[in-house]
Amino acid sequence: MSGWIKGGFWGAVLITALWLLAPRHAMQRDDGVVEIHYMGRGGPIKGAMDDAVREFERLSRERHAVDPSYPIYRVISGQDATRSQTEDPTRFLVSLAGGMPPDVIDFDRFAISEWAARGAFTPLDDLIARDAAAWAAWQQNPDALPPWPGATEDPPRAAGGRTEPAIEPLAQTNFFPGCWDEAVYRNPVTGTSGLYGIPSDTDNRVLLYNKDILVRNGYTNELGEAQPPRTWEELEEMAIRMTERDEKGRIKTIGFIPNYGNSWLYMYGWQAGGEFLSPDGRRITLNDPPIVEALTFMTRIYEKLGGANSVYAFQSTFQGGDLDPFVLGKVAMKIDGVWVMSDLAFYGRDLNIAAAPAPMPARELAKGRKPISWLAGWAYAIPSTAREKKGAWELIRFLTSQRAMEIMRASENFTAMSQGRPYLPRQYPQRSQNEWVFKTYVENNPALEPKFKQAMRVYNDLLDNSRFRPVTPVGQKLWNCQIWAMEDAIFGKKSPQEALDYYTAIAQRDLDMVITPPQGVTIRSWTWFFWTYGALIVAVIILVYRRETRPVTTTKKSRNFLAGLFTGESKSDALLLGSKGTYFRSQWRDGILCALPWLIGFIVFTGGPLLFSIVISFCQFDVLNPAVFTGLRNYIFMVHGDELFWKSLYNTIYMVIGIPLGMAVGLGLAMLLNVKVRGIAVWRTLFYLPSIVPAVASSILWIWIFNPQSGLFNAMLDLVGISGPNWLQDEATSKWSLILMGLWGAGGGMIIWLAGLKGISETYYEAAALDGANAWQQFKYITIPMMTPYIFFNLVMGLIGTFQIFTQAFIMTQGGPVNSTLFFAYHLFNNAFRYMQMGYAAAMAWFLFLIVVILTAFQMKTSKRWVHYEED
Amino acid sequence: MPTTATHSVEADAKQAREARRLRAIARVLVIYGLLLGGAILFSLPFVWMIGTSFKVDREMFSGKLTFWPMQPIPVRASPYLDTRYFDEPDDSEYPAIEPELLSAIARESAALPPNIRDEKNVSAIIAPGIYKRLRETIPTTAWSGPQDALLTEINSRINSELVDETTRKIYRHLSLAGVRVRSLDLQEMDLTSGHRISDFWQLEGPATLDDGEEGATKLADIVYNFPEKKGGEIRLTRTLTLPFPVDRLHRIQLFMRPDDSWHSMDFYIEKQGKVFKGKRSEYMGNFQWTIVSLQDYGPDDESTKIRLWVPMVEQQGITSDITAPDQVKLTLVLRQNDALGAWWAKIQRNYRGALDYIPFWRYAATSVFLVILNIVGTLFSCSLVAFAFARLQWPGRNLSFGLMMATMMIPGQVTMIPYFLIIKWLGWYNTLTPLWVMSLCGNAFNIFLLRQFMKGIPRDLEDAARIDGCNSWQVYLHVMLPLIKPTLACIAIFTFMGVWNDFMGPLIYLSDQRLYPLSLGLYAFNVQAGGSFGMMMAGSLLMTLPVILIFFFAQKYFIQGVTLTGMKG
Repeated sequence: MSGWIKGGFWGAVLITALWLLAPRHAMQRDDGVVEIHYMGRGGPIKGAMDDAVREFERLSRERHAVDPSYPIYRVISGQDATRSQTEDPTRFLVSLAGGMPPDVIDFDRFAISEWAARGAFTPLDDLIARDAAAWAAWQQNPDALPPWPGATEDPPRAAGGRTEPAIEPLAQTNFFPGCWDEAVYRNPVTGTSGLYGIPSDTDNRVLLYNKDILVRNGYTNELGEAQPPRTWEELEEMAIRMTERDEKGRIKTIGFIPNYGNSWLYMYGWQAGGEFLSPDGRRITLNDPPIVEALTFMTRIYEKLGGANSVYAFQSTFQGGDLDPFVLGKVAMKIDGVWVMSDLAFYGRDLNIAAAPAPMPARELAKGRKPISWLAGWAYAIPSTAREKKGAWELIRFLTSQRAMEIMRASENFTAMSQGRPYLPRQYPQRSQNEWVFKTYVENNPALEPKFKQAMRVYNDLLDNSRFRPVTPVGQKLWNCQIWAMEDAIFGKKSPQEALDYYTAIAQRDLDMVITPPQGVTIRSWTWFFWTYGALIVAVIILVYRRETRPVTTTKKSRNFLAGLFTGESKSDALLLGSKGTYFRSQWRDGILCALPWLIGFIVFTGGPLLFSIVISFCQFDVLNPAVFTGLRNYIFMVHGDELFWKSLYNTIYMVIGIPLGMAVGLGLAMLLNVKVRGIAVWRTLFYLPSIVPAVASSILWIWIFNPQSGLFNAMLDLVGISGPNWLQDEATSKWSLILMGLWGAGGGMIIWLAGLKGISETYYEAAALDGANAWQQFKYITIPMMTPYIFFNLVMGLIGTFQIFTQAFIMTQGGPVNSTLFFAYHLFNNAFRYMQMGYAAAMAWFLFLIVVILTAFQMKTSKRWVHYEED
Repeated sequence: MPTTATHSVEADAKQAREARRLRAIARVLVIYGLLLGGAILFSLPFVWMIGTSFKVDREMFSGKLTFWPMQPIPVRASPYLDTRYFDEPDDSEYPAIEPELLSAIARESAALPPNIRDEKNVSAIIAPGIYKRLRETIPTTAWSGPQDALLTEINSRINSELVDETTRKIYRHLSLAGVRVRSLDLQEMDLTSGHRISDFWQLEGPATLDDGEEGATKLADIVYNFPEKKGGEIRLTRTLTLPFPVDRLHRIQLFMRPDDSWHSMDFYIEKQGKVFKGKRSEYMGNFQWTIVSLQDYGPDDESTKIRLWVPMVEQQGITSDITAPDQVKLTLVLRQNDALGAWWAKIQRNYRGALDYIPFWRYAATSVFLVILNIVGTLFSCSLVAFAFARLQWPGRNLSFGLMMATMMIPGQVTMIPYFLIIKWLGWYNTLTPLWVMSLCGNAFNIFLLRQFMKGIPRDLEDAARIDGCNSWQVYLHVMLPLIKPTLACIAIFTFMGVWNDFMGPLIYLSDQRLYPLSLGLYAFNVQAGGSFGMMMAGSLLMTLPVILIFFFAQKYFIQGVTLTGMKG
């Protein structure tokens, strides 16, 4: 009875706690307020955006008071579309597919075309034209109501206050051409084009150089000031000459690394006069001769510096920040984007830096070409299925206006200064606004040192002469292809020509798929799917029931292939189940009742999506458009066409080595922590810590530990006279580095082992000790056999887990170097969410499933021989 | 003879005892050695995280990762030169060059700021910084060349510009610049315009105000000299006349540059006959220009804005003589800190930031809510289902088990979208339901783990219970549940960690940030905190603390298991 009271008491406590903790749904919806859902960068609306949005809402209220047909707007925001490491479009894609997209999204401009090509965004040309017309009409008739709130200038609200500038219609001429054109997508098939986003910010790249290192090496002009290189030839010479090595021949200071910072093959390709896409958008021209020349140039510098391996050892940084060799004064020159300036202004105070346009080939300069750069940035776009498009455009017009620019920059400045950091603005796509920002926050900012002003000026001067990545539906694939080609070339896997030819073909194949999609039946309605699913469930229930109630047979064959595979129990079960005693029958109802939670969950939540993924694995499916049934195409392509498929499979299978190692470490730790010593709880907690430390924190630490130059591992190896490998930066050791990292986290699995060890009765050991068994014998004859169910569990789960390794690759290596950590699940993720080939991803998933099933089934079958269950 | 025999037997026994004792000692030593070594190895990152969470921003980007933060040193007199900023050079060439350096610097002493020019040792403090610059700019060959040529080169390089530049890097002074007020209607005004800063403030205490300017900015350095022991206090006051009614006052912004002295500054505002005090003190632990904004409760407190401002709290029972409708009296109090106080200020700095910057407790409450529901749901459903799979016979059992294993083998990315559609169809989008309701349906990993454990329990126990007349439910409740406690404890920890750290789930199913759990809230904060790495670590540590506590206390359930199982033995 007391049990019931106790249970009731705790239940009451629990329910009260839940009631107290549940978030109050304070989502009052006022009548007449129109909500605009906004999805931006870096989380929910805060800081600068919050200040701007408040002004927007205020304007709408004011307008509503004079003109009741204009709604009062409220801007709602949630988590953003990106995650810190690399852009992760999962959230946006899912919300689009689920019909719940935001009304306005701040989106990577480079990716806009890729999504617009699949119909994800609304073209904005008409809206701009309508604004221009309304503005012109109002200019004619200034007594009429302004075309939108804020169209007139607001006088300063106090002495010393600021005049709020009028919100004028967007004019293409005011935009830097590169920024605008990057948001214009022209369909290579139909030739129609549209503007799919309004650029919100921009960034381009220049050569940053450490003046002191240049001076030290005598690269000075007549005044004794550092003289940066102007041509590729000078750059190459300086890169080599300024590289200093220590006694052991390791690089101490490096002159220049072609792909450190942010230049990529794009920079050099354009400088040499190459183009990455044909003008009609139908042909990938990654192997354009000037681009081959550019890659040859990059490869040559790497070779002269002693090979990409030793150079990569140098550039292991995390998120461009901590341990950045440029900030530490160990890199003389780098090409990098404008975003590094704010960190440089804070952390690089003592660095004597300057900026110059990136050097060009002498030949191109001789032709009269000016130095170039390339730009990227973000843009506001309206998803095509957005519900509140009118409000969305009102918000975009406001956010891209001078007024919003002034509010947001003031707010950013305030935020930076409140935290005691200097404020350096970025670059902005509208000429007038960019100038205003530069004047206000750079030129006239007394807190900023002159060197940063100089650098910002160089950045801004290059904006007009900046290229942008080709606008194509396969932009992401092209991006990855240029990385792969570059890595293959600089690591000496292929010659630049071969590498570029090879990856041109790969990108072209994807483009061809968009231009001439594979023919097949388009699936427009999914009603049949639900019927099939329902029918399948009913059929399975009937079949299972019939089989299980069939009279006993003594055949030793498995009655149910799939089940037999997994349990390995077919034989004994056949005999056991077959006995139709009432005792066993009586368990039926109980068994089904007990399993009901899972059965319901499976039928409602899991079975449908599983079946769905089978269906789409036979389709071309980009999530945004109806799936097209193309039969085995995905599977054939997987085995025959996709080179990275095999590479990723190999990488993944390689990681299987980690399973037994991890099990050994886990069991060892568990046994160590199973001894009776004082404060064992504390020890256990200490050993468990690695599993608790957030991934971001431990990643930074591991990157440091693996750092080939100053890392912990190589420092220790140095002590014993071994010169350590490059760990994460070397394709030969990168997988081992991740395995090592995994071992360190073995404490997470340890607690399962511990629970198992605690389940072994002491009496066994006592009996064995009496019989004179030593510790090893006790381990071998008691611990191991008793632990077999756990060994088995860890083996199966380890295998499943290994085949789905994703996070480490996502956070730490992004699949590199030379795709050596491109694991199966990461490749699958790329296909599903980055290249938008969900059908192909599903095919990959089912292939993976097949492998894991076979391996698991094998384990299950053999488990009979060695797994010891007490119940039998 | 027999005596010797007994003697030898005794000796043998003694020896054996001795050997056993030695072995036991060795065993204990080995165990403790392993425990200690392992603990160091495994807790290293955590220790680093703790150390980092105390650091200020500028300590992050140094050449090597350091474990502990720098000691904050409260200085008595300011302006001063920071003696720790430049590392003492450890090159073999340095001692030979040092005298030359010192004399060259002394020659250029006119370039030093007047306040510190006459102090002794100035040259010695600057010399390492000058040396570093020379090392960076003089060609490597010159260093290994003839000494005379090198010294000449060094002499020619040291000029007033270099000395000035180097000194400015380590010259710390507490400067005050403008005071701006801002109304709720976005009116803004700089109240110091037209004044000299030194005239603007009324000063009490062991200090003077020294006017100066940097570019177009007018400022004044607070030149102070605190007494030997703690307790020094400098008070700056000013009655401000606002360009708008005082009840429309949104915030007062002070532009200042701390001097890295770790003294504290308190803020008081008097208006409408009341006295308000800043809820927290600002510590002078930085040397970059900073804005301090003071504001009392207003619309910003209701938003999810980062609380970058100092909230002002009304002091009960104190009245002020400032009652005019447009007047505010502002008081800044600089209080001398001691070494201990400085450490305390530094240690709590990032943690306070993390708690101030996000509605931490609200997010945490949501997380705890989800954790409780998930743990209860998971433990109940998984154990029940595992019982069905391990111990009961029912049609379709093996097929179901196979299907369950299969669900684990399909990567989640390909089922994410249809799953989302189901959630939306059920009307659970943007609610917390999808984040806990699944736990009621069990989870393949846990069910499999429990099944393995249950299969290891002797069937005799169950048979005995059945013979005593227990039905399946009673067997589950009275035989199985007590026996699987260790594994349930494991699962509870896994579930706790999974839910507590879950990022993807809330990210996809929630669009309203009022419903965010801590993981997502903290992520948003990390993004906002930007480069403030120490604060990020502080936030992460606050988040891991509950996990550690839970793990620590859940352990006793592991131990419980042993006494109950194994009746076969």
